[in-house]
Amino acid sequence: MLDEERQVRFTQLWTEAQPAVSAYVRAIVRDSHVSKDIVQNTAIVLLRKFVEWDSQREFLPWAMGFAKFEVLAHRRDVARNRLLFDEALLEAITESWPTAVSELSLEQSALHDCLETLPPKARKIVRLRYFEELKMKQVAEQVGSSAGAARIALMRIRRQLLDCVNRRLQAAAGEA
Amino acid sequence: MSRTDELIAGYLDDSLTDQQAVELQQWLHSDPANLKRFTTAMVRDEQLRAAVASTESLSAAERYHAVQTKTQERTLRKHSILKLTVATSLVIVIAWFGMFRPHNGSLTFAETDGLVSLRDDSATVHRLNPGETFASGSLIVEGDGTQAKFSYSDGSVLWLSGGTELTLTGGQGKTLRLQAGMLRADVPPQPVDRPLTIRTSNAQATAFGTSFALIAAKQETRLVVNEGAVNFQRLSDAQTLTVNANEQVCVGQDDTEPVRAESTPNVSATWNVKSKAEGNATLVGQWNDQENLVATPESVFLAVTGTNEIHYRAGTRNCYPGLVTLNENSVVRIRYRLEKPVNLGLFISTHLPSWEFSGNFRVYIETPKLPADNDGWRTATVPIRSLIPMKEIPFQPGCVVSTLFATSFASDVGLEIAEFEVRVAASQHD
Repeated sequence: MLDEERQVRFTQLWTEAQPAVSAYVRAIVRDSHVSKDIVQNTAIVLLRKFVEWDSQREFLPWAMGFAKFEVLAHRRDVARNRLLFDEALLEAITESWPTAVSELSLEQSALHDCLETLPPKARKIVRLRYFEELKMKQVAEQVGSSAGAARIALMRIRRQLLDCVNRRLQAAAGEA
Repeated sequence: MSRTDELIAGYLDDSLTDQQAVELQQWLHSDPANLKRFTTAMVRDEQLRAAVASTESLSAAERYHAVQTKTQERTLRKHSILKLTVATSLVIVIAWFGMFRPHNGSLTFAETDGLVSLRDDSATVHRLNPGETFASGSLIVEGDGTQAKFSYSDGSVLWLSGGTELTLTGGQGKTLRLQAGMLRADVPPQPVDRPLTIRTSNAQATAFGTSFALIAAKQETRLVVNEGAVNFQRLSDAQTLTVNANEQVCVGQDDTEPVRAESTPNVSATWNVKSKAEGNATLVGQWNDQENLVATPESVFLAVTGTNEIHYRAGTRNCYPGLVTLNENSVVRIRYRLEKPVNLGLFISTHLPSWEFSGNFRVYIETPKLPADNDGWRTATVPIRSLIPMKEIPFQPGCVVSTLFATSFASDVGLEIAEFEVRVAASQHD
């Protein structure tokens, strides 16, 4: 069992790492309920294994390793995931995730501003897909289009947001 | 748009066919740069999800603020009219209370015996105290057997069970999103244009005046109606039906069968942990290679000290339909072993068939007093009547167990359970 000091330390590290781990799990398993269970299991395993953590190592990559095992356990039950992510691919994504999160962290605040610039219909599509978590077929029904058209619209919205983010980051870099 | 863009978008939209999944996998293997591009797209997509969640919560708060401001302005105008003429004021008062009374979408936290937190629009989590009122954010209730009570100004009351997360998604009406867990509601008659609406990942319940329970589990949503009626809609195809008193309905993530209401089922009087996690049951602990259930650590909020502690537990939770129905002659039997002979706790949380909470119960098993066999296994049989009520609610025969576990509390002593069952004793000596 962890002493009080180590429990506090674990809580601090996990609080910091959890958003990146949760995003990784969500990105792979594609289901928010299942993701929550996996992240919770990961937290339990991490807590048990925390005595083995070498404080000279970064916590996030260490935690991601355990998250990967939990994802692998889930992957056995999901045919599509099994088709797409073999163990080597999952390993490679797990390793590269902390770096990608760090590299793209500047984009997050610009993204908030760019969301405000979307036209009403595009905002609706984004809200239905990412907030209401509807499937694309349901999104299409809600906006009165075909599923194919909704998918293309969402692709364009992502591109539009990325362009907007890049413009804002370049402008900010120019001002600096 | 390139073929690769299409495949990545297909992944992000969850619309890849099996063939496309294989194609994407081959592309990812072909070049490390491709993998980097794909990982970047996934990270950006999750950033977008987080940004939208934050923006939408903020919008809800802004809408609420706008409504409140308009309401205050209207009130001021009406005060002026009151000064002009008593007759006019009477008309306004009648109109105000009879027709135009603004609906308050704020929820007030009434009481709990556990831990209730609110994650606000800035994603900051803080502990809620009774009496606090809020119009947006996500509520999180923690703890086994915990009930947290909330109320709206129109008298609607919500009880959230431990493990539930509920988001307030609308500023004006009572629009909620049950992310996970169980909610029970008593709802007085609602304005026809602004009923209480609760959405889950795959269904929506609309109540105009009723008593019901809604459960959002991993892949399904279940509605159980005790009084009145609730409109229920499956989101995947917008199928809608009215669920009446003593009926229930359940929809799964990928269901295509017509949605049907059914009578509420009875729960068996016997249960065995070896039946494992059936239906909505969630295992507490994990199975080892010998098919024994081993305790795992869980963070537990201790109301007495106001702190969290790690406890080691093994058992099962099943909020719907429940694990087992208890009667006067029910007994709990457990065969277990520990690395050190510490006392064991048994915990049971119950509700009535109407879903009303009917108390938590516990008992301590004095391990050193029980003989162990050569492999260290001990057996305890506990009559249900010997369990101690934790909330001054006496045992009620016919109640249903929603949570049952054994715990070595904060001692990590390798609690291992070979047999764990609830059954009806044939006699008092059984």
